[in-house]
Amino acid sequence: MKAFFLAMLPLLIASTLHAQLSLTDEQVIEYSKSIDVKLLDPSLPSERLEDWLRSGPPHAEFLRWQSDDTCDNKPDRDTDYPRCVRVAFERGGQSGYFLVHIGTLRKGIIGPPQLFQGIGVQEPPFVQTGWTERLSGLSHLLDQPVVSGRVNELYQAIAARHPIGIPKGTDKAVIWPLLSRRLKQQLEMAQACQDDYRRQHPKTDIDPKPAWLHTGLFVGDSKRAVPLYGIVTKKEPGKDGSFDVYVDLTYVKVPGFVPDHTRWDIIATVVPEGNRFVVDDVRLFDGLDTDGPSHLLSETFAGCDGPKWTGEHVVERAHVALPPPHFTDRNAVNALRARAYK
Amino acid sequence: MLCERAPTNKEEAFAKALDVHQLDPLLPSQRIDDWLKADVLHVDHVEWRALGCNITEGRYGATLNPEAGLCAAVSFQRGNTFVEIKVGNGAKGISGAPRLEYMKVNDKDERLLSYVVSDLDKVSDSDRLSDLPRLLDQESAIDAARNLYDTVVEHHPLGIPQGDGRARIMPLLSASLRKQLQDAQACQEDYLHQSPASERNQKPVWFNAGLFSGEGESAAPGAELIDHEEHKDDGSLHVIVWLSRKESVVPNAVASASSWRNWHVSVAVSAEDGRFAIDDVRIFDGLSTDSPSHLLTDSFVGCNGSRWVGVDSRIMQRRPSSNAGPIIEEESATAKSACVNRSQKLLGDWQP
Repeated sequence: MKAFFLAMLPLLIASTLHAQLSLTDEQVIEYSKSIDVKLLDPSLPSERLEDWLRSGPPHAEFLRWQSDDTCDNKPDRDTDYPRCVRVAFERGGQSGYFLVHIGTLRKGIIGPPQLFQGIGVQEPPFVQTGWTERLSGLSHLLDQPVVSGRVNELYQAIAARHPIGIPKGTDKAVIWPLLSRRLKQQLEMAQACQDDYRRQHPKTDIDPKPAWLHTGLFVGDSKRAVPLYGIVTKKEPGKDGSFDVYVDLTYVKVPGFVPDHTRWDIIATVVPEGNRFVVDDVRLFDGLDTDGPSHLLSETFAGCDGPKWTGEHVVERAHVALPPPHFTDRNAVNALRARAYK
Repeated sequence: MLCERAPTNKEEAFAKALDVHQLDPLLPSQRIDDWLKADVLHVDHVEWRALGCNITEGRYGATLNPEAGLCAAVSFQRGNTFVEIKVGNGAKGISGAPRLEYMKVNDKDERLLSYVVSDLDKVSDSDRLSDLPRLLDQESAIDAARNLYDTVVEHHPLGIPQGDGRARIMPLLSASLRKQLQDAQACQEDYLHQSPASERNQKPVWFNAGLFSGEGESAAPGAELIDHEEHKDDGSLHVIVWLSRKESVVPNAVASASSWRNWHVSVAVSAEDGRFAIDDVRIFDGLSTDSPSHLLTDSFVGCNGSRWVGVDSRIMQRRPSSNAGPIIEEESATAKSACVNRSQKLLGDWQP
């Protein structure tokens, strides 16, 4: 018997070593599910990670666990890499994922598990709700409502229809359901005021005239009135239950010798109405910088006294020239480089 | 292409020709590229890289910006250590005076535990070039710990190291620790000499222990990972080493039947005879520094020098592993059998 054990000893040791190196996805996931959340965030009480995600504050409705051998890094060097497990979650229409660093590619599971780079939460399609570096911050992000759907629909409609001035006809039919009662009332009033202006000046535009007649109310003047597409990028909670939703708009004119390509941002404010969030206002920026001068859509209708056009208080906004379309003249760049390097 | 190489060459040439005495008055006058090749540093894989401080590249092109000065980086390797140094004569210092802008000394495993580039990475390890030999030496302390645990993972030594493991481990230890192990070996032999085989129920606790990694299954870690070094207030240097072990060795075990044990040790390293040697090891049961721990040098209870004097039976009991993860019964039994048989084999060798 003793001889048998002695003979088996090297095999047992070898099998221990082999077992350590050959790590299956199932083993990684099983280990990760059982990680104590207190190790990942000392402010949390001890609990299995899987149990905490499902039954703890995040109340995740869906979880997907995946082994990530190199923590999102491209393993293009002959070296060891950190090893992670990727945990995807969903609740109430919001989703996200985070990586938990559990060891290394070559050594397997080793060392203290830790959150790798933080946690991002978003709502569809790719609207950032926020980011937290601590596991305990996850539930706060997931508690936020889904708010950007109407904004997304509004800017898809605008990119498809390019309405100028106050929407009418089918444009109005598509856009109106996406707006708040307050904004719809304001637009109806502005339309009445505009009609009054037309009654006063039936043949031609006479200054002062309504500033909104030839603008894209929701996107801006001139080429900004005809965006090719708009992408909702992120949302930020306001103090009164409203949310600011950021939209990245793009204008592209092709063909042309010099392609004309412009991007700018607007911020749509959404408010809860019934069981949904609708667009209540839009902040439009004069330049490309969201820290620069701006105005609200709701501030556009100067010159009206209710439904009556008075022409008072109309301020002609100075037109802010947009930067020229970006074009890199490679020959010029090379010439400059050559001169600089001499 | 030729045009693009010209400023690169200029910055590299500027950097290589810098006098280390200008960068750090504590160093004697010498070109930095010669200083790096000196015997005191023993570095290899030296790579110089122009940083292009003298070129401003804008959206529409590139222009020469002589006022920005020149800057370059040199990176090199020594063993498992990677070093990056940045030098320049830009506007931050005395105008035109070359200065050391950044010096970082990293161990090869450092990125594996904190892969994300943090603000700490931007903080220079020292603002004095003359500190480089000291910083490199500290990395040698890490290598001493790495060498020890490479051997522990490979050989799984039980009790006082024997055979190949002993040959590899003993040279890594300080004279005092080697002496203590030699005394313990003699004490162990004294114990075997005193006690007939049938009465050996109060054997020394270290018989079945992994002296450097822990008792029971912890004697056979599957992997080790160097974390970092810590400087204690008393001037001692400690290297944190993570250890792990897959607790299932049952062939074809289902995934859920496996579990992992993660724990760590703190290796006390000190300079001795021009090298770093391991003085002691504190073995923690778990990942936290709050978890129960014991010192390797406290292992040899029951010995008075080389004499076995015996101990109270309460002390003879195995230390609890409070943070040990769930262990599969089959595996546990198998591993214990392996440990017991291995000990028996060693004990057999020691029989007078």
